[in-house]
Amino acid sequence: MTGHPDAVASAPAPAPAAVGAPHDRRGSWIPAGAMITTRFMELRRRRGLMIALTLVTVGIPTVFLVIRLLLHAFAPKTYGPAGGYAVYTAFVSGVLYVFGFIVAATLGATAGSADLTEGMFRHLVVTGRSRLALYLARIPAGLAIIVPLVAMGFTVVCAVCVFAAPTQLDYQGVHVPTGLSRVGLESWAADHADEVICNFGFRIGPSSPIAAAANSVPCGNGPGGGPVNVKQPPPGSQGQPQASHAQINEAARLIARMDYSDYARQFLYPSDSLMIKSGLWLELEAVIGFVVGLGLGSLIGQRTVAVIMMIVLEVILTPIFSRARIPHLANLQRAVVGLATAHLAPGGLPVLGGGGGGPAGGSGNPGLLPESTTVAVCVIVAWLVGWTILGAWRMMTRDV
Amino acid sequence: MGALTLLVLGALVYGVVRIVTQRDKNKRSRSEPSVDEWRAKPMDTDPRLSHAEPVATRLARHGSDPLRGSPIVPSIFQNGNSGDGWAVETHGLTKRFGDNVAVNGVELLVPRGCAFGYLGPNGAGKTTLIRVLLGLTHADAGTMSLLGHPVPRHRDQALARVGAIVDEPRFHSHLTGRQNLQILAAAREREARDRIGPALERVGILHRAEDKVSKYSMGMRQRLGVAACLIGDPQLLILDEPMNGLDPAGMQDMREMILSLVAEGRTVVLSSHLLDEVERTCDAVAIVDRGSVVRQGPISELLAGTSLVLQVECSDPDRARALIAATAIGAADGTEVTADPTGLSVTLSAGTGRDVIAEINRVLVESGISVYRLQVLQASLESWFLQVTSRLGESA
Repeated sequence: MTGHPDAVASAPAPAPAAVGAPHDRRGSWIPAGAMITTRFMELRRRRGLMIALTLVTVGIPTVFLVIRLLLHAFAPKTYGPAGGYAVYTAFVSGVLYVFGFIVAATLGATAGSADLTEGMFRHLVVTGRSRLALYLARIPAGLAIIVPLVAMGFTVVCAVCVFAAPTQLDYQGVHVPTGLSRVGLESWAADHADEVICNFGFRIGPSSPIAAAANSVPCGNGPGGGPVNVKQPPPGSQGQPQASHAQINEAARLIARMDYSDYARQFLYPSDSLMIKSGLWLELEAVIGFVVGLGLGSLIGQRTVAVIMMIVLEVILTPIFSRARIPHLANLQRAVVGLATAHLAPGGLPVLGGGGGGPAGGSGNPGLLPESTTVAVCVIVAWLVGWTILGAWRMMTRDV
Repeated sequence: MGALTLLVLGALVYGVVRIVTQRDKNKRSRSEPSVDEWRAKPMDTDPRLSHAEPVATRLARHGSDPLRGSPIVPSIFQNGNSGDGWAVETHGLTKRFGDNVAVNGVELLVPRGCAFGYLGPNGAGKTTLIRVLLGLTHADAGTMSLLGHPVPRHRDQALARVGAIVDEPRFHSHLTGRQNLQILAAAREREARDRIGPALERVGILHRAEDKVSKYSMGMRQRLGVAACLIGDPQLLILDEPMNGLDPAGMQDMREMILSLVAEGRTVVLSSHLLDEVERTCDAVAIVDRGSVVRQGPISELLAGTSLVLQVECSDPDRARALIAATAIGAADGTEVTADPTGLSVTLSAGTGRDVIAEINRVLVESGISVYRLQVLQASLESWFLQVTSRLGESA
């Protein structure tokens, strides 16, 4: 007005609009497309938040993997390949899973509380638009940010893990060909009996035919150098006769047979199927984090407190409730969404802080509180719907 | 496990039902009885004020007591309803915060097409009433309508043609002015997006439209707030302290803008502490005190009911005071004569005619007192406002 003193008089009056026109559905609870796109713009323009989220989701894996690539390039004998199956599982279940949830929760809490704390919600309510529509518009807008963000971080991890994977499988310190069948592994073991007996893990009794063969093979640290499953032959067995070559080969076959289930989960790099499942699983976790963060942020009207509560849930409470067996509270523990998502983890992924996944994924993890897939799905749906209802209810009834 | 599943499903069903019923409840409870029903029933209002009766009755009874008899001075109010309903109409509107009654049985009628001032001391409940009208908080009792649409029953229709600034205008500071308006336009009808440019131009910040709001001064944010109102092509604008943060030139521009909006046929409700600005801008006012509207009407008619002050500059003030006090004029109710070294100050009751002033002049001249100057001072809105609110305070 001061800058344009003539503007008041000269500017055209706003064009009249048709009140109650067919496309003016401001009383509807369904958000208009423009509301979603402008909400998306509002979130995307938060430069500091976007940088932080990108750094955590994409930056940390990228920096870590680039360092590994460089180290391996300059000192390949000291530092192993940057990618591979082990790196993949570690990143997916240890970094992207936790950070993706926290990042999504942060974005959700921001989307849920920013209008309130910045005074914009009043303007929006005064437009006459349904408060429920104002709330629901935030969900697709936020997901349009967080889903690609998680996908970007995951893509970086997948790319490095596939293209910078080791060329040979290092199974318990032995270079083993990948993709062998049970028979193939046994056959390979018979051809490399000494390496198998000295390095593969196995559990035998004193009268086992493997015992004699194991004592016949000169290993630096004794036979059965594998990591966990070794039961050393009893001291009295030292006087046993030397095993024949055929007996040693047969012992190696037996050990290979015992280790096959573990070997079958070792790959040079993740399979396409595992990557697709893992990606969807991470996106599910991110969606849960966003929706719960949105509901919590809307409910309490503050971002910081909501984010702290979400971090506590993900980092402290979920691991405790997933592992601990609390008498009479097992069903309550099963209601924790982190446990439910852990049970839906794809096969071969260790979950919840490196507990080690079973062949069926989280549900096969003996460390986790058992829970059926149906219950896990119900818990996740309940969290998504419940927090959406809570957040929407608060926004509809809140005095502003 | 089954119990857990049942519990979760039960909670879900309850939540859905709760939300749905809450919406219906809000629609019902906030509108409660119709206008006719409300007029027919007694209201829970402050007994100090005699407006706890139907509006029609009060309009008919107007004129009994200039300060306490009727808070409504009719004239344009009786003609202000053009047939489409009042711009704002409330009956018995009440809002409580615990034991504190912020809005106490407010009866408010705002005619269409005028600038209407809503005045009151700090804490009188001005902003709370505006928040109730706009659906930012719910009313505990009473009925209200905006532009003829009952609120909150037809809130979406009512607010479709309402623009408002409540408290200080706040926006997303990381976005530009234009982007903030885009967000608001998206919540309105499609045509609102086309009005962003003209609205920014009209309030004079088109050249700063691409700057972030964090770089805006308080005055520019006020203008952006007005622009946010204009994108809805409002028939009714409710502006809460729009002059805050404006420099004198900005206040002048805002005043001109309000007048131009009124000239276009829009209604502007202006809540302000700046009585001088309200007096210069508004056609009618309502005075609110302690949550209740204690007076409302056209400014000219409200001030017509106040006392006049006659300043007399003369040669012998003390003798002049004695002479006037001895006349019938001096003995009349409401007349007060005080002398000072330069002359007299004669306070006359409301409605005093010009012949009384001529009679005072004649008495003084015929007694040999030289009269140098006679000046009639009409009470200002500010003095009248203070008079009204202070008298109410004394009687409380």
